[in-house]
Parts: sequence; structure tokens; C-alpha cells
Amino acid sequence: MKAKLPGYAGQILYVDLTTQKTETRPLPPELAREYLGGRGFVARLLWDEVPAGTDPLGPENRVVIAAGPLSGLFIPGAGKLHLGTKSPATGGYGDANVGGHLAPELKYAGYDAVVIRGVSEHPCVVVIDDGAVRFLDGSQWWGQGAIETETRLKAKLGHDFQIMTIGPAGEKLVKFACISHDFGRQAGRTGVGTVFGSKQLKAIAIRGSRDVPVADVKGVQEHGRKMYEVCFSKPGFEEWTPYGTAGVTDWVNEVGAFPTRNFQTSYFPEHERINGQRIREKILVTDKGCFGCPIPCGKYSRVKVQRGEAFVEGPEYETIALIGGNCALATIEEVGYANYVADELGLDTISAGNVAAFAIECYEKGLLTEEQVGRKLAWGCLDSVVFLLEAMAAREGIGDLLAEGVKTAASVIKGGSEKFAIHVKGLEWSGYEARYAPAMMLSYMTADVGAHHNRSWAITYDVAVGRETLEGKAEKVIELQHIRPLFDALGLCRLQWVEIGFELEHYAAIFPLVTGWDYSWTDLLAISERIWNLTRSFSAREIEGYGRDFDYPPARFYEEPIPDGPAQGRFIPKEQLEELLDRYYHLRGWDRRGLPTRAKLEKMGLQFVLDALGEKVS
Amino acid sequence: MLLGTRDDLCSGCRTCQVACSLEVFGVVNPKKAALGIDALFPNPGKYRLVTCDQCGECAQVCPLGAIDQKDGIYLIDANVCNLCGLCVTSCPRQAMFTHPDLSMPIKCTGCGECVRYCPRGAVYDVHGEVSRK
Amino acid sequence: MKVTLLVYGHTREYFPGRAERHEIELPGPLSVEEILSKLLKVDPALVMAVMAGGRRYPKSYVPQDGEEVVLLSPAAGG
Repeated sequence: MKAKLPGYAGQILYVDLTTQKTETRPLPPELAREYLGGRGFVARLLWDEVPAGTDPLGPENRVVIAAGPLSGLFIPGAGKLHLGTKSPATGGYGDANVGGHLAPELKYAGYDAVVIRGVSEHPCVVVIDDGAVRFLDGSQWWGQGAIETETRLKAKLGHDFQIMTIGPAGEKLVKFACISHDFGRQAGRTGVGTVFGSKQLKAIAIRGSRDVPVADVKGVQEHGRKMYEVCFSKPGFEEWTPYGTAGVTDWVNEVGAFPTRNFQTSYFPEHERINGQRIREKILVTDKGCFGCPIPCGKYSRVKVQRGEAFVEGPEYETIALIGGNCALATIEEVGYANYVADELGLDTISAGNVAAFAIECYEKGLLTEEQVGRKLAWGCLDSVVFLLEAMAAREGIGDLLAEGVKTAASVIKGGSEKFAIHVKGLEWSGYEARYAPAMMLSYMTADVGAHHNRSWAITYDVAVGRETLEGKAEKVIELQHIRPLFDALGLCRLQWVEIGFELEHYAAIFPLVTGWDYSWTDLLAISERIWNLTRSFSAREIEGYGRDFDYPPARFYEEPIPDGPAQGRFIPKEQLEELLDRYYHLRGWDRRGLPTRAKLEKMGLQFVLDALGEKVS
Repeated sequence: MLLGTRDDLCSGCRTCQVACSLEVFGVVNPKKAALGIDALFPNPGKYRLVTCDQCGECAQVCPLGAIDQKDGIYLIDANVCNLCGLCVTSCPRQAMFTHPDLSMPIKCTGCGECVRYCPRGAVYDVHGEVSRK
Repeated sequence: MKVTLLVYGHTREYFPGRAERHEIELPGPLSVEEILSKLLKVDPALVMAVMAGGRRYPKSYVPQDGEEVVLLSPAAGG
């Protein structure tokens, strides 16, 4: 039988938690053609499904979960799942992605996407088993850690189920709760786990056994073989893997971009004690790969500190940066242990590391007292960090305020703390200090979800063309903001491209073999640009006054020179930020307020956005 | 061709299974692969590969004589097999599998595709005739 | 003397001709850092570390005549 839509499972599953009913609908071909999958499906389905003005933690909010047309196939890195929601952290468009084996499994079960709505009356688990969907009472797992829950669910359902679950932080509606999978991989950002918690949805378990249809199976096999062979032949194929993402730690310090002590500075003198080599030498148990990956970056480890012993996947670079350098933890065992605590609680380590560091700086400056906190806080103190993580996840004492994220916490604590609440749009900053990297700074300012690096990682461009100059920076950021999120729409990991130089042309070549569509790489990038304009518009629809005012970094980054290290004395003055934004908006076809213009939306095929935004559009 | 494994090199990526399903059945579906991966997490944090070593126990137990050896590889005759499942339950390595779409068990045919595309060399040819691409 | 530099990862686009392989005649022993800045005119900060003979070294590594050295690009994961 010839598949209607090769590359796709061909169905969307709608789950209503209020009524505990599900509905399966065919995947609309035009949705696939215009938005590809993954992030594209998330953006479009959220736009259609979430009523304007919805409370992110209310029953009308949705979580959209989507694989891409290349997920689950014979393609390096074909294992990325995308999840999105109206973010409780930012109030705007929010998404996160996760590797492991979820996206392939979802397609094998017969679905390209799942749309979750409503609120369950009691804690529940949704089981998707090859087209048969059932609801389990989740009370027995409510309150349990994410890793513990996954272990028990696998024991109950079968080890061939792929699980996504929240920890206690999601249940307590901590604004940066994550979703965990495969004992240590997370869809970390923007509070997708928080929305699971608000819906009393503890976990989703997926198992599938179906073929994924492709347009040209011989062609996919031959080209897939070639893709792996090219990866194997790359110089350094063998060399990158041993250290994974943590391998970059020394370099980020060398260029003065390492978050240190709540971004007070950008160089951590002890960085060689928390780098990738330390993981390999001291704590590694096994390399752990996502589906189809030739260069597994997962470093499954075992750490032992005074407090106890734990298995943890990682720490990844981002955790090393935000829980390591940013809280000044100076041994890999301590970073790994704090990582384990955050994973079990279900906290995004990027945001949680920021929040912990923010609290420690507030304490250091006398804005939070020992009485308010319930103990002394200090840099480089594992007990302080674990105390803060546990307080946030339980919303106990000061943790209740910290659980709202640094933006809200600063608005309550005041005393100038807003200047060092390190976020954009309400989402805490990830692992690259950008005061001496204008392209990277602009990447953070304009990322659709808030201060996240994965839409545009431009710091090597800053290094290559000159770190002072602003010229060409906006152009580069836009180029990357189309390429990198395209991977999220296709359902792929981008690390094969970024880390070992696997060429983009290989993806362009296999896409038509999979789907039967004659799309060029340029066509695919145009879709990525459409999605970018749609996510921006979603936030504009949901947030009063959204636009330019939401695109600035905290004042620390444009007022305070970096005090020491390789980037000493550097910062980017406000007028230069304005120049970067002006250029960026102009190139994007947006107005000076940072909103897409009527002409731009029409050109992008987003007439329905124009209709909805009405007067807001110029 | 005889499969050998180095479990400590396996990262659980399942490329071997996808490659297997494409070569043997002409479909993308790692659930139709003739080798398995047990993921032992969170403790002890290891992978264990499940592969056929062509021991011939399946041929021994088959009541219909549907499994024959050729050049050291045991193959199932689809015209004879009635999917009784005795070979699957008797396999000392649990290296034979079933799938609802298929009318006979899934067994390693010795094609070597998993060896060619395991990125890590975790599954290899003991005889050294096939190697990673 | 001659050394070969193999560059992989995304920073390749900032190397001459965007090439993966650079065979370079040296006037005498130079560190990788010096070869990059003096001969290839590439900012050494674009390279994270080097690999030679299966081992990882800092950029101050001085390759021997005829040696192949792999240049590691900074990674952007996490």
C-alpha cells in the first residue's frame, strides 16, 4: 500500500485529560507541506489550538508533542522530539526538545504529533501502545523523582516502552520544570514540565511496532548508508565523542564566555576541574547515545560526594556552566551530584542553576538574609546549591519565590537585583556569557523562547570576524536562526553538523527520498523562516506590548564591564544593542517595535496571523 | 561472518537495528531487527547486545525442519515455518524475535549490515570478513 | 618540514578555502597556535584543542615533521 504522506506516520493524536478521551485524526497534508513537523507542528498547532489569552496553567493551554519527517529513519541523529506550549515562564511561545528514543517510538506507534488538552481530575499517566491509548491512575507515582518514576513505569509496563515524565518540581508548578526521558535526557526549557504538572499528567509512555513509510526505500537506504559513512570518515569522528558537549568547557573559558558566579564574570579559574576530561577520567560509566547517533554525547556517570552517591547522565556542558561555574562548584563530582538532584526533582538545570546563583548573589549583597533563606548561602558550596534546588522544587520557604524564576524573584526582592536577574523574556540565560560577543548577545536577545543558545550559536562567528565589530552580526544570527531550528522541524539532532562538520547538503539530499517532495534546502529554510515569524507572532498575540522591550539582556550586560579574565573590561553599551536590534528587525522585515509587518506576514503565507493580530501589525 | 559483541562500546543508538530492518525486510523499523539491545539503567548503566551466534539450537528444535544451515548461517525456510515459536523460546541467547506483521520469526541472516553501520564497532565480525564502513 | 592540519566541525568555514585538510610547509618547528596565526591567518581561538597520535593536546602542541594533527572545533551542545 502506498503511503499518503511518506516520511510521516500520518496521524495526530488528540488527548483530552478532562474527559479522559482521545481522538485520532489524519495528519493534514498541507500542515506537513507548510510546517514540516517537530517545531513547525508545535508552532502551528499551538497557534490554532490555544485560545488567545489562555492561562498557561489552565485547562485551555495545550502541550503539543511532535516528531519530524526524518525522525526514526536511517539518518544520523534522527531522534529528536519537540514539545511546545504557551510558556508559564514567559507567557509567550515556549518549546523544548529532547533526544533519546521518544520521537522514533512515537512514529512507530503511528503518530507524528500528540496534542494534550484539559486537566485530569487526579494524577494520570497516558499510555500510547501502537495506536491503543489508555489512561492509568498516576497517584502511585505522584511525588516520586523523575528517574525513579521512569524506573518503576518501565518495570510495570515493559522495558520497550519509552517514557517521558515529570518530577516533583513539575507537580509543584515550578516555572522551569522539565520533562525527563531515558534516565537523564531532558526537554528542559520554558516550563513544558510545569504544564504537564498543571494538567496532573505525570508521564506519557510510548511503544510502537509499525514501519515508517518512505517514498523511495532503496534511495533512503543508500543515502542513509552514505550519511553514516561520511560521518565515520570525518577527521575527529573518534576524537569528539569521548568528551561530548563538556569538551567545550576549557574553550569557553579561554574566550572569556563562561558563566561564573551568576554571570558576575566570564572566567572560572577552576574550570579544568569540571571539564570533559575530568568526566572521562573520573566518573564515566558509559557513553550513551540517542537514536541513530554516531557520536554519542551522553556521558553516563557515577559520582560520589560526602552527601551520597548517584548515577547521573552528564553533566552536559550547560549544566557544567550554570550549576558548575555559575554557582562556583569546583569539582566534577559536585557538579554531577547537583545535576542528579536537579534531574530527579525534574528541574531544568539551566534555569535552576541561574536561580540558585541569583539567590547566592542576593545573599552576598544582603538582599536576602540568613533568616529569610533558612541557612547561609555561599559560592562553591554544594550544600547551598542542593538546599536551593530542593527548596525550589518543594516551593518551601524562599523556594516558593525562587520557583517563579529570576525575573519574578527580582521584581519582589528589588534592591537592584533586576540588573543581575539574568534572563530574556523571563527565560534564564544558558551557558555563554556574551558581553564580549555581540552576535552571541543578539542571539540570546532575539531567540523566540527567551535566553537560549540553540536557535543561534554565533560565538565562533564573533571570534572569527572580530569580537568588537557589529558588522555582519545580525545577518549571521538570522542565518543561524533559520538553519538551527530547521533541525527541530525535521526531527533531527544538529550536533553531527556542528561538531564533526557533517555537511548540510546530505540532509537536503535525503529529504526528497523520504517524502517524495521536491524541496531544496532553500525551500526548507524558507519554511524555517515562516515558523520563526509565527512563533514571534504567537508571543505578540499573547503578551501585551510584546516586541522590542522584550529583547534586551539584563542591565549587567550593558552597564558592568567584565571584572577579570580574558574578556576583562568588556561590555556592550546600550546604544550598540539598539544598533544590533535595528539592523536585525530591518533584515527580518519587522518594524522598529520588533513585530513582523503586514507585508512580511503576507510574504510568509501567514495571512491568518495578520487576521488575528489586526491593529497590532503595521 | 559471525557476530561478536563488545557491550562496553555500545551506546544504545539502535543504528544496527534500523540498518538490519532495511537490509532484511526493506522497511524502516528497528522492531523488525534480528539483534537486540538491553539497556540496563539507571543501575548499573550498561548496554547488553543480544546477537545470534549461529549455534544451531533453533534448527535442532524445529519440529518441521524449517531451519537449515548454509555456510555457517542458519536460515528459516518461509515456506515450511508455521511460526510455532519453539525456536524463539529455545534460543539460548534470546536472539530470535517476532513481529505481528511477520509470519515467521526474525533471525540473523549473517548479512553483516549491522557490523557495517554500528558507529562504534560494538557489533563486529569475529571472522573479520566484514567491517565498519 | 611539512605538517597536515585536519579541521572539522563548523569552524571549518573560517579556514582558507573552507577546506578540511591543510598541508603546510613549515620553516621549522612551530606550535599549532603559531601555525594558525602566522601561516593560515586564522584566529587560534577558533580551535578548541588538538589531537595527535590519538591523544589530546593544548594548542601549544608542536607537531613533528610529517605529522597529521586534528583541530577540534568548539562545540555548542548541552
